[in-house]
Amino acid sequence: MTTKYEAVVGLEIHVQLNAATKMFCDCPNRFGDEPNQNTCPICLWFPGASAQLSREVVEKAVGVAMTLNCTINQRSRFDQKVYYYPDLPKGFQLSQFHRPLAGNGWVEITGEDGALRRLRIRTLHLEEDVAKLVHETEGKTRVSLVDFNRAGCPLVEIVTEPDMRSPYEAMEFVNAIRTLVPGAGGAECSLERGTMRVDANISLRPAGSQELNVKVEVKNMNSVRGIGDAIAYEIKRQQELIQKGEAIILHTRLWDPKSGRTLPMREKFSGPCVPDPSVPEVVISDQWLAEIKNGLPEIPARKQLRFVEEYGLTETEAAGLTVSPESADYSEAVIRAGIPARLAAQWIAGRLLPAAARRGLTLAETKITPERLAGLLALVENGKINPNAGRQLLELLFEDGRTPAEIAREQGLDQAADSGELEKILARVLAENPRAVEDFRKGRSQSLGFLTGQAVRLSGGKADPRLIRQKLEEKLRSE
Amino acid sequence: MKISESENPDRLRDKKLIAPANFSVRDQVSDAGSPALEKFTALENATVVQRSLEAGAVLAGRAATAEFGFGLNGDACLKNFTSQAADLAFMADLAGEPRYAAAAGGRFGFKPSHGTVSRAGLIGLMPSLEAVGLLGNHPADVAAAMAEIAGFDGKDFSLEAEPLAGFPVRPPKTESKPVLGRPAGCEARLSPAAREIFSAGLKKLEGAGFPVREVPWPGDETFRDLHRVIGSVEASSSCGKFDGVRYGLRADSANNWNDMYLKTRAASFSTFLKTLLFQGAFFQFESYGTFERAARIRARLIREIGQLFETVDLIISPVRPETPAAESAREVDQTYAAFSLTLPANVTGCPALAFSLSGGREASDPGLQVMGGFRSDAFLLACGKRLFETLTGGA
Ligand SMILES: [Zn+2]
Repeated sequence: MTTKYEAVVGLEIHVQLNAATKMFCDCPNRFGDEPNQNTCPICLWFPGASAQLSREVVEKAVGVAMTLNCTINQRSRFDQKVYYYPDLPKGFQLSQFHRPLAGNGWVEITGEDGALRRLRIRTLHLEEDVAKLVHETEGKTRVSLVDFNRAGCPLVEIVTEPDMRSPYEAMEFVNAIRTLVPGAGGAECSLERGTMRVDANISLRPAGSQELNVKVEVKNMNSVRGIGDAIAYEIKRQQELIQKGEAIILHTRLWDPKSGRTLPMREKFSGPCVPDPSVPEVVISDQWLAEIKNGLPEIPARKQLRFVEEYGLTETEAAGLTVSPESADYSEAVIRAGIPARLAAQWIAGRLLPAAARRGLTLAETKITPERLAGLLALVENGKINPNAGRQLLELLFEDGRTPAEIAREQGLDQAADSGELEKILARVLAENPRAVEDFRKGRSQSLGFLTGQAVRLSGGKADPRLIRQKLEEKLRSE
Repeated sequence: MKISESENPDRLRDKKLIAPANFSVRDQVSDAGSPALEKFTALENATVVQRSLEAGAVLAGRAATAEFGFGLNGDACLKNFTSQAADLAFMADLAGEPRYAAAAGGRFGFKPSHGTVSRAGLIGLMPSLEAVGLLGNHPADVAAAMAEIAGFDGKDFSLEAEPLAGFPVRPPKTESKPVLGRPAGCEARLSPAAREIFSAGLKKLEGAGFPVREVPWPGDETFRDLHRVIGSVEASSSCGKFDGVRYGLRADSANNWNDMYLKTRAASFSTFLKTLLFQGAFFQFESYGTFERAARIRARLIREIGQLFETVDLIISPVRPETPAAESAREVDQTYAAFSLTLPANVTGCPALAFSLSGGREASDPGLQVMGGFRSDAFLLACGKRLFETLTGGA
């Protein structure tokens, strides 16, 4: 008899805060500069220098914690994570362990079965980043170079409970963080650009049991896909070990995206966490907390509600527009340009976002500004073009920088320009379907639908059914 | 009298100041007595140096210190103070160094409350225990210096936010004498000759109308062990930054960074300090529970000593026990033995002052230490002046 195993997955996510300065000094929190450009006696830990905790960093971290439904600990402290490695300028990393900034948070995802799953966050704490090591050779000599630009940059570490049971759930959790946290304005959260780093702890246990077994930590995943693949690989690797009767050993493995495998890595010696005697306790008063809360951009859930109340959208429509802060801002710009909210919602969530995604572009990266989409939707709204033509026009807007009206005219999508042809079509339909015309006159209004359909067919789908119906009715009544 | 002087009677005009090698002085070698910082030149003045100079003090000289200021072995502050005929010297107080030196050398030593004087630019070792101490000829100079150097500094966030009340120090308005608490058994570690000098001092104080009461006191061993566990852990962390990567000593002939690291650190610290660092690393890595217990007991002691100050105004004791002198302590154990009477102020963060009972003339003079309640620095200095004058005739 074989035992069925289930995976137990927890994540440790480092998110780089987008504060202007490093955590404990005024050096810019910026990347891509010349090595060791952004350093000072504090972040290089010169003797006699002491840490000066940035207010902005605390505020951004609290903002992230609030967005993730965490309880803020109004008193928290820094600890020293002691280990000796040249990426640490002082032999320890300032982090929060014994008394973290926040905890008891949660994020909701849609599970594989379509039901909502609430995944818990155990703690969220502040941590300073470490320096970057570069290993090179000078002639035949191997040299190690250190770039301290990153040392002391502000991070928050999000530690989840081991609530995830599959690669899918871990990926969805990461996706939720990537949507929620940038929405709060505190961080970018790009795995690709390294402003978010995800480590996964994975263990197996007999399905249905509550035990927590020896876990293996997997690092170095730089895409959501990679996170899923790495966890799936690790689950399979552990299953095979169990089947062979081998023990799982606590260690860390590195995901290699090229080979699609995890490989054991040599670990940095990690020591204890000692309370830091120099950085003072972080005390967040009620008033400060309220100020941070008021200063936060709307969280998606609140924004969604506002879209329902303010623009009369359904919840589904509002959810479609508020999937990201970018799409929400975009939608509001289109609505402000005078486009009915529902029309904007149908086109943005239903057509524009999928079209952009097919091209691998964010909205900002496309040629379609809110103004240009509003131009297109105005043509549709005013009946200048029909929705079919609108869809074609949308595709063209990705490539062509001219105004929607200009393109529509040139491409013959503009039905006003073809009014002569439309008249011909209508005349032909009326002439070719005397029975239907007769029926309408006898009061059988459904024949109008039949005639409209015939006209649309003759126009090759280009004509707007609404417009045709209207014109046909006018003609039939006037004769 | 100049108007400016009458307006700023406490400023440090023309006071000759000694800043030892563990206080940063811009563009000058500030090696904190450590091989790790051999030839290390400071980028800016320590806040206390800067503030003193701005208040009119003159930098009369530097002085060698014990390694990172811990203990007095290798310390030349007292010697230079005398040879330069200085008025003031900064001395890091990790376990009682300026108080011990004052009692031995016939000067006046002071350790402020923890978190009242900026440690920015002090090349320290034990952040939660150490303070910027002062050595002077007279309580008035020390009080005047405190008025200039204490208070908020944007470079040291560990300072208490509230300004320290009572500065500049004024003579008390009332004639009532502070009640002195004498810890039970505080004379136990004195030689007979020292005990005699101390008792004579106490008699003189009582004769002058200062009430003296015996107060219960945790054993010296408790303070010593707490200081040793917490201090060694903090020292181990503080010395982590000396790795040869960014500044200071770097061992050559290393094969790779790991080798460079090990060789540099091996060469950076004396055997004395290594003993302490190994102890700290032991508590960090192998016996963290001991450190946690020490931190808890310390918190309890701070509460208990605080309560003691509800029954007495000040706590007095000798300064120097009968041990080999701190200057000659070659081992950590000896250093702790020499400072057993002064380090309670470091463990509790309380202010304390000390001076010699014989003007430095008697070798067996154990000195008098006066400890005040936390952040009662101005009151302590005002009382210290009265006690100093009563016992030494103001000499
Ligand atoms: Zn810096």
